[in-house]
Amino acid sequence: MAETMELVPDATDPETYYLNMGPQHPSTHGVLRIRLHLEGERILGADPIIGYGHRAHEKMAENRDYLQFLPNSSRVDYLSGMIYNLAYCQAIEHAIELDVPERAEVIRIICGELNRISSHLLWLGTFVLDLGGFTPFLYGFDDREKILDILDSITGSRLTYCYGRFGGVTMDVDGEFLRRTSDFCDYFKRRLGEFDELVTDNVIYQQRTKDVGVISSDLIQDYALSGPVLRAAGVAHDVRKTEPYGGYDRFDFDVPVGQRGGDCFDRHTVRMEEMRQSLRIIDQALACLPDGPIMAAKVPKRIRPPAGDHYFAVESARGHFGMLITSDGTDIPVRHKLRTPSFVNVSTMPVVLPGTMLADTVAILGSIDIVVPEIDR
Amino acid sequence: MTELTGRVASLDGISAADDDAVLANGCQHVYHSQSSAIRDAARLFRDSDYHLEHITCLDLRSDEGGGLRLSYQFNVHGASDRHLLLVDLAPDAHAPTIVDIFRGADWYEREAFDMHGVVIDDHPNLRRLLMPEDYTGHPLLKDFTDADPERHIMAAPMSEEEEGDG
Repeated sequence: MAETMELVPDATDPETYYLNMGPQHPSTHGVLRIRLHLEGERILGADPIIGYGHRAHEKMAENRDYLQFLPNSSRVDYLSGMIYNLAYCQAIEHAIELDVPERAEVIRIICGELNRISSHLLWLGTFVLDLGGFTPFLYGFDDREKILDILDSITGSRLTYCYGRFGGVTMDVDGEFLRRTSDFCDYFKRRLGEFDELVTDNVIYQQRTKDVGVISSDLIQDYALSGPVLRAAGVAHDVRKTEPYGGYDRFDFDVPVGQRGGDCFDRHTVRMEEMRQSLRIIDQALACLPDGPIMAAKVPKRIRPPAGDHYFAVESARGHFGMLITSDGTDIPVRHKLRTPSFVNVSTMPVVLPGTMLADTVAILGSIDIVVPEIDR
Repeated sequence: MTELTGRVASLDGISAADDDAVLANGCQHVYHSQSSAIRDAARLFRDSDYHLEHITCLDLRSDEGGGLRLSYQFNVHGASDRHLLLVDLAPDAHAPTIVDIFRGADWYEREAFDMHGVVIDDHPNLRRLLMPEDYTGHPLLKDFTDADPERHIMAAPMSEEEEGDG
């Protein structure tokens, strides 16, 4: 195996040294290791070493049929498992051209957006905790727990949901679910204002995040960034808008963008605004939830997509999540490629981190909202 | 056919795929390419403000022939316009790097090397990405077997009798 790349020309300089951040570091949010080359506290080079959470989902997909892979889908990213689970169902429906009843589509959107809020809340809590603020962590987890309870009531699980089915969803929602969701939306709108007072307007927080870790527009094309990291850099791109899937085109929502050129604070404001927009979508969805079946009438028991490539993309809480399913016409895929947003975002670290200070690494890593199992798959 | 598809298809070693022969659901344009033409195509997409969505490798080897295939997927921000470039590799499984054109290709190319054993020529840093450094073998190859039989536990797909058709 080739020896590790020289990070800077003068790697042998005795004034510099290497530091392993991780794989057991609380601020890497999982088992991610970054090999930092330092001069004092200034970072000269960074080399993310991934694979500690590699579970070979892509290999597993090649050894079982489409339905058997369904429980795997939400394990790819355990913080927005609902979005990934529903995305896999939608990808298969897209491949075999199966129509989903409107009620199931709207339920999926409600659950997906609730999951997006809970993912952003966990990000907010742990990010501020990384920067030394303990209270927002407790507030964030408290509110997130309310969402987990709501989703638990219809799915039976708290994180790794398996709620979607090819052609619909497993269980219908009842009046209790709708009432709790609507109550949560009203409550959380007020709560977001409190988060702004507590976090966004906090001077220490602003000093830790403003002009730190700029992921600017010149990296966008190079790396195909997506999600809040892309929008913070000023590009209003959202897969829900550009390739409206699962009925998102019926709802009215804005795509927030950063105003400061893509620093950590931009990524914060974009996510805060995204939570507001998710609430908007849920409000509209609750108002227009139609009656009817929650499963398509005729779903083939054996899923056999036509031979060829099937690409399907959704906007997960972290960005563009795509699946390239290559079928040979049988009920086992030839290849199931998962294109995950965290993988892309972390691969920019060798470019973004050099030149910053060691303490800012925590802020930068936290602000791109990595989920390590999603990087490793 | 848009202007860009015409320019891509006119490159040496690239031809637009016949719509009836290749199904690429979700991708608007599909091409067959020789590995020598990847860099020219990548440059063209780069100059047209397209980004590299991902690179993936497929093991299509069988008794009838076939080999490894790299798929390059390009897209643009705004209205989705996805271009899929299918590159059938020679049996030695070599492909040129496009890291100098799209820096984001770095990890995808390392992944293709790690998982499928594709040798990316001139890649600045071609080492394993997900598997440990001292690992041998390429797990996503169809004929891959783990050296350790204890780790060989896989679910069997449902048989026709168990499930029935319908």
